[in-house]
Amino acid sequence: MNTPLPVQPPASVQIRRKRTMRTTLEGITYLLPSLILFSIFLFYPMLRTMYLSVYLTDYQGNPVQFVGIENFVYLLKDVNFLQSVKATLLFVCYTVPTSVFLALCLALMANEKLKGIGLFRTCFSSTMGMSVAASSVIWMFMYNPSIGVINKVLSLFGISDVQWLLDPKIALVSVAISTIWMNTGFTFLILLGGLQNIDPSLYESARIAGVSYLYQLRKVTLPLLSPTLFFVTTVSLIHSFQTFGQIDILTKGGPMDATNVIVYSIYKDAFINYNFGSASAQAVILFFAILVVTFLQFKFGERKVHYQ
Amino acid sequence: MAKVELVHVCKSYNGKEDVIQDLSVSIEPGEFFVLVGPSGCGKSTILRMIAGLEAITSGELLIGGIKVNGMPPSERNLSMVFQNYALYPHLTVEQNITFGLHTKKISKQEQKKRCLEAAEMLGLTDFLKLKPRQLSGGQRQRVALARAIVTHAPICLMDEPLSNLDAKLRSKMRSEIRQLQRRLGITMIYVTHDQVEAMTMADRMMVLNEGRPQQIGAPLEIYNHPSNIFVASFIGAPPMNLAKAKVLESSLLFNSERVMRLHHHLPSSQQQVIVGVRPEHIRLADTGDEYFIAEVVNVEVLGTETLITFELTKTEHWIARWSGQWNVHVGEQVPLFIDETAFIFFHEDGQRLNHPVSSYVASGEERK
Repeated sequence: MNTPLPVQPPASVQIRRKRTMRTTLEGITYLLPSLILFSIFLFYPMLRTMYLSVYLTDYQGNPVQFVGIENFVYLLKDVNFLQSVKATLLFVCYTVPTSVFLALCLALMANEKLKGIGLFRTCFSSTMGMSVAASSVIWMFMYNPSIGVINKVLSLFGISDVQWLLDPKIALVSVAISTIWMNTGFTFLILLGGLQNIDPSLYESARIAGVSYLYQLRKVTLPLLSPTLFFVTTVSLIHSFQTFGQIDILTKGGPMDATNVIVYSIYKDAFINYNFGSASAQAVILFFAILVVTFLQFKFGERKVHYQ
Repeated sequence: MAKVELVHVCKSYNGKEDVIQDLSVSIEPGEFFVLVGPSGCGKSTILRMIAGLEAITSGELLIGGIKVNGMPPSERNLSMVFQNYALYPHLTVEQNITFGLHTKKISKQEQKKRCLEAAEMLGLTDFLKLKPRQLSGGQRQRVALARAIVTHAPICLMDEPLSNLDAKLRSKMRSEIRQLQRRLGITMIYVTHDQVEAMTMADRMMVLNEGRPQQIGAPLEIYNHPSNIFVASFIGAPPMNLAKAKVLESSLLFNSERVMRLHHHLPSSQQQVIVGVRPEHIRLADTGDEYFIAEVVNVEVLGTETLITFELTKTEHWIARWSGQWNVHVGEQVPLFIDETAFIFFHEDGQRLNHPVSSYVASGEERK
């Protein structure tokens, strides 16, 4: 009888496989809670949005007819959507560089060792603790043409009746200013943390070498802060693309669509016009736009970052 | 070359307690001066005051005869090597070495020349284009040294520069730094907690404890004639053996247990003293010596020498250091002999007795 024996893997391999299985299962178990949450609130809506973006929908948001890329083609021809794109890009350009620069200046100041500097650090970072809704309401009052404090102050200098939120030329800038104010706290705190992480002996060495403050800033502080700067820029950029709350409260996308950024336009299309297909298509476009910008940033911006 | 003088310098952080108390010392041009003491004794603070990184609370600091108390660090014309090297991680070795040279109005060409010179001196020529993180600990240390050299400053301050290196590399760098200092003739002020570094490198050294200078002098002078028990126990490894003793006529009585007879050299006019003996002065008794018997409690054979811990009294252990390899066992009773001249006597408050060497009063109390 020459029946070949079934080839058994050696016992050790079996045990190892078993062990790998077990550790994999164990790992997945630990991940399960966040996997479930992410799936319900992130991955499923994302896939659903992509699915809806290629359909015409009824008022309940049910897909009615497959239309392929027609939603996208329509959007790219639509003047209103292009206006939204323009508003969004302008808004990003207004807010991101300004808030990062402002926060950097504040962080550099607050990083000095002075008496009572803790008070300033708290003040500068306090906007982080305020909700978008609350701060928007405050800004709405400040921008108010008749009772707002800003116009009151300006009238002292002879400038009167600036229609902050009603003038199509200024509205976007006004919203941008309030957004910068809201962003500064977070950005400031992260940058201050980054500054404090820099080894003080590097500065002492620079003091002994006798280089000027600006030279030190350019050659020591900024390069060593670059990972943090990169992080806050990326996060602010993504955040800025997704601005919604302050627009909704301050201008509702007006006047004349001047502040109708993409996220607000998505909201209006979906929940006011019940045009879920088009809204989904806009959301998909926004998603890819952010993806591409972030990718480009990593590709070109990260080269100048010095990780330690 | 420049002389560094501290005159009655005090330092206080909170305005109440002095971290450094009334420190006066004059460091000669071209001298290798070591500040040594346990951690927290204020040695780094002194160095940082000389560098100008810390303000001086009171007293005067003179560099080259000029009062520099308020002068910014860069104008004091000195260089400093930090414990963690303080290299800029994003700059290459070359950029690190030449960092800040432009402020001294040195041309690009001259900078390059000096950099190459320093790199050659320290064997860094092949690494000039690398970043610090690509270097080993010893190489980083050399970059830090090179950076101190290129400035051509007459004074170089070093804050525990070798403490991040392993033991082997440390002893190598020790002699390299010493040679470099000799070759360049710079005044070196060197902070360390390692008494071996202090002993091997210093022209003169200052032993510090709790912000107060304990003794200033050449290494051997300090080793042979410690001015108080702190210095005696801090300098030397293993440290000097110390024990309280009663003086009874011509004998020393340790803890009412052991008596040692002395013929001369006894401190007069003291009842209670602290007796100190260096381990190398305790040897195996020859025939004819006036020996004492002690029980061995531990033996460490180190190859070139043997350390024998023995019971002086029930509660006190002393260490004897015999050169060579000895076959002694724990529990054995050995006859030991100490030459009378090897005894050093301290007052109960810790101060050296009957010794003319000028020294600081450590505890601030007057010597009785």
